[in-house]
Amino acid sequence: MPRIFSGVIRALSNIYQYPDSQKAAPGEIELDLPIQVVHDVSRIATPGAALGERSGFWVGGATHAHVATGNLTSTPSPYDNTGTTASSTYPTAPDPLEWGAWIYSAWIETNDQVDWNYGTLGINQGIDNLGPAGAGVPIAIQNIVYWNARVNDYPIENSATAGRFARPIPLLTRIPVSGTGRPFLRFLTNADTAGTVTNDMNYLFWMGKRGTLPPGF
Amino acid sequence: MADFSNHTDGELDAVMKDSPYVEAMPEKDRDDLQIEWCKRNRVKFEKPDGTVKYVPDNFPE
Repeated sequence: MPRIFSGVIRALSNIYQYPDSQKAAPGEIELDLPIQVVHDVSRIATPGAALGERSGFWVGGATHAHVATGNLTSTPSPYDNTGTTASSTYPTAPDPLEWGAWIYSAWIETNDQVDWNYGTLGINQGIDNLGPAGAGVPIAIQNIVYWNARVNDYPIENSATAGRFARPIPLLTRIPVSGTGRPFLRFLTNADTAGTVTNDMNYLFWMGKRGTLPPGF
Repeated sequence: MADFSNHTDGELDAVMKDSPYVEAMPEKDRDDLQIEWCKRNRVKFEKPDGTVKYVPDNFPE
């Protein structure tokens, strides 16, 4: 080895063996940085993500077209219990003991603020194979939204062609889902004038396995 | 009795959106139109006097 190299190596050895230099070695540094828990929404925010094909955010809804006077009632659900499967539904629901749904918000739009009368949005409290419904007891409906076109219980945006709740309703209610596809919402609207009143209800909810919580909780 | 069962979904929607036509219908025909729409959309139809005109199968109450 040439003398010049051995001299350089000897000089570097002195530097790295110096006690203060060893203190600065990476393995001896204590990182005093705050540890922040980050909820990785990207892994669970969509169906088909980390927790299974049914986990994540969903949107759903129902449309009521009032040609005749009276009530229209529907039970919108992400599950189709009629045996058919649309692109946005599953043919069967998951085990209610393992899965739950949290409704984030629901809102209603109407194309005719004059001829529609009132409506409610409720949650089916009983479900198939679990709880009172399995014993033949009628399913209890807990109305979570009631509105009246004339009283305007909730603020509705004024529009010549459409009206809607100006404020989506935060609900955040855990709802058990049924193994046979029991729809868990109940949407009722009333028109007191025969015409072409159309009311749309939309809702946003999150589904996940037992023990998991929606983003933000 | 008005029969709308042979209408496609699009044709049925077009009829329902034709306000003057719908309003000129006899009430019975209008109910039949609403019943046909409810059948296709799994919606329960109840008249103002409480008469239930259509309930989908396995409809939760």
